[in-house]
Amino acid sequence: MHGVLKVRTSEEKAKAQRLKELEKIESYNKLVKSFEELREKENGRYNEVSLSVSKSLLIENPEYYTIWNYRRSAILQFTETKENSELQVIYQNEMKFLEECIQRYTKSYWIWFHRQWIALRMDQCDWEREMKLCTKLLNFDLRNFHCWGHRRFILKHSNIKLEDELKYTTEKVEQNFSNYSAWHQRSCILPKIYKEPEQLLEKILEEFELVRNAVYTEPKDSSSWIYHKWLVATLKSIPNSNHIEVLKNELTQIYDLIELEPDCKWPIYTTLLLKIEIGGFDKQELLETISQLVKLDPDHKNYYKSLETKI
Amino acid sequence: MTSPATNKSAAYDYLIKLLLIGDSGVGKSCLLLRFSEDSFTPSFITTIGIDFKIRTIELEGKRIKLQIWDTAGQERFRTITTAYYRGAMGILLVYDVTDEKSFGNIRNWIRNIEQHATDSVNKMLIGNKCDMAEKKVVDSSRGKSLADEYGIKFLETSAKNSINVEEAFISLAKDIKKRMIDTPNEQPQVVQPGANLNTNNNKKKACKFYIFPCYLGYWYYFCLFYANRLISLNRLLSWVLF
Amino acid sequence: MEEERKNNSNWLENDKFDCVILGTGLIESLVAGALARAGKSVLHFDKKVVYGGFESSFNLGQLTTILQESNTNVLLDKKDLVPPYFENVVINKAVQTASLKEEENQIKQEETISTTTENKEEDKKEKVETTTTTAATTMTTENINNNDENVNDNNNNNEPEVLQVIDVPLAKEKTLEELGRLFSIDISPTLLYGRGALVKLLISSSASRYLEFKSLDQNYLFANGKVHEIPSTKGSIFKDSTFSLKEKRLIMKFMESIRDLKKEGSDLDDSKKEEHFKQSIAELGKQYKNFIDYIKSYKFTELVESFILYGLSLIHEDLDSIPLETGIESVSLYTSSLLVYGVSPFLVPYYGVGDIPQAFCRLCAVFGGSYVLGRSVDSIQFNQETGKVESIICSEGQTIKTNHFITSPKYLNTISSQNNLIQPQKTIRKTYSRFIGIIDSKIIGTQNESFITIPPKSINGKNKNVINILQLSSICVPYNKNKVLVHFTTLAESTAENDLKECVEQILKGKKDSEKDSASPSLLWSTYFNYSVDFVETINQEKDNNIVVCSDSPNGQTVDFEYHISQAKKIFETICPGQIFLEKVPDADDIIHFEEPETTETTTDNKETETEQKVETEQEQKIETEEENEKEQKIETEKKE
Repeated sequence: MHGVLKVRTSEEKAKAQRLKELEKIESYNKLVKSFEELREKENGRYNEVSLSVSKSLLIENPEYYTIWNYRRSAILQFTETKENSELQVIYQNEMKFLEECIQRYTKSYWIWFHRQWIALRMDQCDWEREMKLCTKLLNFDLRNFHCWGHRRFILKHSNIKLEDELKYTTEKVEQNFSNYSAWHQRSCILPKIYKEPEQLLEKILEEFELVRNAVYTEPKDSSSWIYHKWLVATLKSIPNSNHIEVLKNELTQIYDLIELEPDCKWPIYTTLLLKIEIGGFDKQELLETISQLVKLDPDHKNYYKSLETKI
Repeated sequence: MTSPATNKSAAYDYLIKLLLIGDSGVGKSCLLLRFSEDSFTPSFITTIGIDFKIRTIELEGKRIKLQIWDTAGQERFRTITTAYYRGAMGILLVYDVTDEKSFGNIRNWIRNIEQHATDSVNKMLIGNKCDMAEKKVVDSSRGKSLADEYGIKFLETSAKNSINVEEAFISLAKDIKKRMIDTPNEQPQVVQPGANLNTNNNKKKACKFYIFPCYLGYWYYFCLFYANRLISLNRLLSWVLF
Repeated sequence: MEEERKNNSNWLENDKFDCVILGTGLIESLVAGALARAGKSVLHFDKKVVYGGFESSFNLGQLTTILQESNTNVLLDKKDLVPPYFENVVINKAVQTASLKEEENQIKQEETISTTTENKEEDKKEKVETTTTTAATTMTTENINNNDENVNDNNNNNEPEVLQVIDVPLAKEKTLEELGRLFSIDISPTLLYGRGALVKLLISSSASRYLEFKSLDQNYLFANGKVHEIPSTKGSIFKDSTFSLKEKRLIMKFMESIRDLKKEGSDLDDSKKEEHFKQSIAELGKQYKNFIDYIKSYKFTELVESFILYGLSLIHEDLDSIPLETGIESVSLYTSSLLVYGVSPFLVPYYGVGDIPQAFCRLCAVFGGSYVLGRSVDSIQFNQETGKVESIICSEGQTIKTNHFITSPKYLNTISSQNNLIQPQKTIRKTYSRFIGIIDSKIIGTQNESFITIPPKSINGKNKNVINILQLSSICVPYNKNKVLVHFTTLAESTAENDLKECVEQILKGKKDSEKDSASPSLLWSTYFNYSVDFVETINQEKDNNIVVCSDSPNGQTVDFEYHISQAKKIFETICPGQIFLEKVPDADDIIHFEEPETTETTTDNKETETEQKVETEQEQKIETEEENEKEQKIETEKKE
């Protein structure tokens, strides 16, 4: 018939695919074998071959953490036997290789750890570039906690300004505030930037505004509420902060939200916690709130019940 | 635009789009099939369904995916769409060494290209069917001088006997790689609906593959491997069900 | 190429096709692709030498020519009117002041950069020459005159060369004419929804491989004299300080409720989702008369109401009586397309709308369709007994037998027929007013690719209909040359100039908010024109003569191509009832191109069949040679005997 294509059937396709997979598995197993033979032969004396063989194995399977350990042992040995300039070249190559691996497996503990290990050993790690790498990866996946952790690692060891990081978290939160990691990062950085109590207080009040926008836009999102919790706790820790007044204000604001969204558990839960903090509320009232929560969210029944002891 | 692969587990580093242009019957589809599948048919039936073919080659350590487009018969009445030229980085202009007319039309095709393709597109002149020595009417020297006139490379090929076909495509790809990778492109991000459906498949494949060597020794790291991927509760759930 | 086409006397060897289609607008192209995919042989014509009909894109030179032609007497003879066709064309020659400045600057640059006077004169001569060789419009001739004056002036003021360090690129800045080729200007610019009908069709038909898109950067509402960003994602609502906390919640609630009506993101079957939707609409219908009623029930402020009506629902005609279902569908389409390909729900064709019909034409060609441009159909012949189409006679005189003929009303009215079996089609006519402008910087307050909706009565209270503006500043324009393309569209009340002039002036002037905002853009080139389309109410079925008439198909104010696709499907259904419309093309890897001699259950690998064939031919050859040998032996033995 005119214009009709002949196409391979799905069985044929599946068979062809299986054959390809079996080939792949075979070649991988060969690699593993050659590596094990090499390791036996070397018996603790590493050289370039160790690096190249382990590299080819890691290209196939970066999750094979034993190999990463092996590489670290090799590099440790090199630090004693080789010149510093050579070592730096090795570190540079490691970093490049790690970058390739990270792009394929963005959430591998072993890769990130190795990267950090190398970064600390380098004479001059390009921290800016590290940050850029994290930014790039976070564009693909906002919540990659490895990246966020790496950012904290970078901040610890470099001169990058905390204010810039704060700006970045603001960006990410604005992009999508259901991002627990971004809020968390904020909570780590804020106290470090604003060390004076008055400054911190001012900033916390601003943060309350910010979070309020988030919870009004999407009351069901837990990350904003959890940040709110942290804000309350931090507020308490600031001396002379007049926190009761602030909390009372918060309470009123959240009541408004409950009017609009009576069926959402988070505002109600938060008001409960606030009331407990502020103190002086009728016990019966609080118990009623707890039973309301239990009705709305029966999965966490026992947790709400446990709050009764705090009243 | 040489698009660097943005999906993480892509099987190539760069994607290069090439076009075949020339009169009907000069052998464009045959060149295409020879290069991409190493196959050839002598019959002249314009095959249904040849849209483009893909072949990945390695150039200087980089994996280059060549996407080579055929004219779909629209060259017959000079009704090739302007869309055909979009994003083309290299064009092979093909004529038949046994057909004078097809050689004469090369100038027209070049004019067409100047109208519709980007100014910097790499071109190459191909004289096909060089295996038919007895019937050859276009001398190699004429082909060469025409190519020189336009400052482009020239090769005589035979899709039938597989002469110079690899060389032609790879030489063109090399020139393009040099030009484009050295001049980074900052044009706005392209969206192609349906094109990125492969990323998820690749990821899944990567996961599946590592299930196979799952004798007890590796079982431990396999579980850990999966644990890495489980960030949110949702995925944990799907793993449990899986 | 034109002459070639005409000289090709044997230009169609085959003179029989299942279907002949005249016109390469989007509807016709969709039908062509679908018919070819379904196995029909298709011959597709267009009288014009470019694809696309109303959905074509042109570069600046081509557009200028077409617009100017429409003003001449040739096309007043309505018999020859084929799409696209324009009326009330005004082309602005306000170019001069701007380009004059450009050229003055260029000449000054050249003076200070080059070292010898000889070089200077040569450069200037070159400049004059290049302007003469480009498109001969009245604009350029006047430019040349002015250019000469400049040359004289500068010669008189010849100052000694002081090689200053200037921050100027050494390459000459090109004039608008020279850059004209790099523009892609749509007659009928259209956005696509990320989850809209066309994108879904592109994915399901594999035609997406022929097209590229860019995500729209932002859509805006024009209110209170300035452009407001329309926030629609969670993130943008969160950030936007124009809304109070309560408003933010209400907007989100509104969008959530609509998502809920359509059960977006749930695992339900499509049919179950439809059921649920119908039921919910029926229930809501008891409470609210129409869509506006429903919106008002949320008690939004006026600004927010405008956002929803003009920004989210994007229905721009018959606003007072939008049915509940239509409005909700529209908002739902908007919200479900958010964050699919970018923050905005809209996609803009990267090289202009013109590529879209071409994509389906290519699909048709890949599956055997034949394409001929610059030719038309002169007459149709009918079978005496059945009354059905038997053949068509094209403008070169060749008779082509066919079973179906598909075209639009305008074309049909220009074709003569035997026995007057073609009756005038019942059509609804809509006229649009358009403005196209090239400016030198973006509209104040907008991003690169932007879409602005102007509600009725917002331009000094005067505009009766909604006006849409599409701005393209990084695609469809020369790269990095500070040339921005703007399209204004509205339903016509009078001539385009009357309808849109005030709007253009107000928008381009803009309202500067702060120091940060750049200066108002200035107009480098512009045109006003009207065009009309004829919509066919029902596909012509009654007479059963196998002529299918499809509408002219531009979009005007609305977004996406749902109407076109549904029309194309209906047409396809009349010709190929029950078959799949634009079935997905299998992966390139899975297609087998060469027929195997006998059916083998096991292998389909091309290489193996080749070797099989080789083996077979070798065997055949062996047998042949053996036979020959036998024959020779026989002859020899006979001879001996």
